[in-house]
Amino acid sequence: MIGALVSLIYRSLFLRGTSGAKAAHFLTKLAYVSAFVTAAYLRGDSIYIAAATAALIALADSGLDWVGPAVILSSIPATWYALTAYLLSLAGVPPTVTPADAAIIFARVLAYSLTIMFIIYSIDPVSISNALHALGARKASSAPLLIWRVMPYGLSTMMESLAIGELKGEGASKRIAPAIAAIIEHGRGIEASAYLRLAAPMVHRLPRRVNSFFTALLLLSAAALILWVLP
Amino acid sequence: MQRPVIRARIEEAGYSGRPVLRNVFFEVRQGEVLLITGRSGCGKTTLLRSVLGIINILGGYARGYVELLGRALSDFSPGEMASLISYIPQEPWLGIIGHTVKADYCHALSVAGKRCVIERLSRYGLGGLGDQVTYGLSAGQYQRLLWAEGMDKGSVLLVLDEPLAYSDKGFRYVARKIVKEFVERGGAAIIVDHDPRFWSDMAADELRLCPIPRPLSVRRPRQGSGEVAVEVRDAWFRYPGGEWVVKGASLTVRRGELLLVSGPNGAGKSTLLKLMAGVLRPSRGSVSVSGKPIIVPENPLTYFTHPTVREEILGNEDIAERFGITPLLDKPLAQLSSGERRRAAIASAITRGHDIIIVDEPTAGLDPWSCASVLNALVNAVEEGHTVIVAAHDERVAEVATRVCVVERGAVSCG
Repeated sequence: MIGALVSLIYRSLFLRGTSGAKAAHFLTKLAYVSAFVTAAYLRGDSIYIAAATAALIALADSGLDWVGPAVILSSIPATWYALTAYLLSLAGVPPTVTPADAAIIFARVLAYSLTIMFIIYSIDPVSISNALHALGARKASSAPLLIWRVMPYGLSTMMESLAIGELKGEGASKRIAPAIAAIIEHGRGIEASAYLRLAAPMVHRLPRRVNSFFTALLLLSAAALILWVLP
Repeated sequence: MQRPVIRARIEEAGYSGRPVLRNVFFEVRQGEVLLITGRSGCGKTTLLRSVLGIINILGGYARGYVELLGRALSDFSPGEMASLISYIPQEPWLGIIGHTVKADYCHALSVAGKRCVIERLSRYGLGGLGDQVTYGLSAGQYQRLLWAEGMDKGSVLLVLDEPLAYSDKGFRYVARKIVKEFVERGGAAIIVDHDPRFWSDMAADELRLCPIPRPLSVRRPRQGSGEVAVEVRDAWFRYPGGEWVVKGASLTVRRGELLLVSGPNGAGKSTLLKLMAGVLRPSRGSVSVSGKPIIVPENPLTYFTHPTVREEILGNEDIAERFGITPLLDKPLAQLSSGERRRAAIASAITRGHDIIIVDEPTAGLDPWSCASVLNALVNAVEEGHTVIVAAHDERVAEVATRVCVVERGAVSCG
């Protein structure tokens, strides 16, 4: 169960390197996020458009490899919110929530979660590093790369550790502490082994190729969201 | 006479107040290679960490001085050091900070003030892998990436800790040629390796930190019985978002076999092992196992559950003796060397009654004595009826394997 959850997080957030939606121009990503926030603020049902465009772009990018795990993962908070609202209502806590209301809560939370996960999925740490470099934070410019390196590595270490625990006949609860210890050890190991790189500032920006197809898709999605909320 | 690139006198170095080594002095000049040898766990990595000034990050300490190009190392900024020194750690995955091959390579060169030319990666067998996520690389590919970064940033000093432990035979010779060219151009290299003969054509000086006992002889076990332990049928596998890593693999492993899975770096050996252990499930095809499998991965730390070797091997002192880990029984696993961890993990797997033992690179980074003791233990396990499946580049493993399967581009062929 825990292993499956870790696997879903891993696949939902760190599936790709720098291809597909990650390689879209960073200004179009900003445009998409701005359009999403504006649309969600002005008109609640625009979240469905955002989620649908996110899912379509992700389908074009990596087929069901991202959409499947992301929908399953998103359905966890969606189910929680819908169910607790409905059960509290049944217990007499206002407001009244009908099964139809619970279904709407489910759909909205699912759409929000899916869109936010897509935004995280499409972040390219190289863009952030280059932005930090351009802003003069040259030492900090290694941090985004490191985060995107260590987080998925930590998740895959945890998955491997849990799977080995299963083979050893140990319960997941017994394996969590050693798995975390392995991740911490890994972090310290990187800190020491890559110390010179981490402590030194980047001199040049990192090269980055822009994918014009996904840049266009994100721009179209941003435009669709804005058109949806226009009076 | 060429000028010294590095001069070091380490009076004492160790961890948690416990000294690991004392009074080590060396000097390496331009065009010279220093080979550091000694039994696994006798302080070779500690020495390199002390020289680089990174031992304190790992809770250790070092007293003494280190000079680089005639100046105290502490006078250099991290940027200058990143430019002048290239370091390949024993556990290569710890030297990588980029999420993709290209990002890591270009970042390493950027901090050294160089621009990256991604096409140069093909010299190191990483052509076409620029966009590959680094958490999907094999240990051998990590090493190749670190080699590429180390050489292309134009350092004056290479500090290499078992830099070929996970590399295939082809790349070992490429790497040796690269080092030779590097020192001929006036660079200096410090190399920790258990095989000094491999570097003999470079007239390297040898610094032996501690003697290595004469290795025990290792015999090949008897052939396995007819009973099937693991059957892989037309198995295909790809990691989410990636390409096919295993492509239609079929093989049968019989009880009591010591099967070696070999092949070039990145061919899919580790993935095949994980499929056989049940850690991964095939995308297509099937894997059936008759018995109780266990896997000791490339990074053995993920195998362990308990903080000490004694707990991990359930207090079995007999097996500790067989694996030469008796002195380590009460030492925290976090303080063991890579080779010691690997031996402890294999001992634990046998103690816990697993009859199909799958080990990824069991001898990587082990000195001849430790290697022979691990191989003997695996041979004993086979003769006691266990099935052992090993992925390795180490030719010493091929000498004891009862059969060899080669994985190339995800396809398997067995002898």
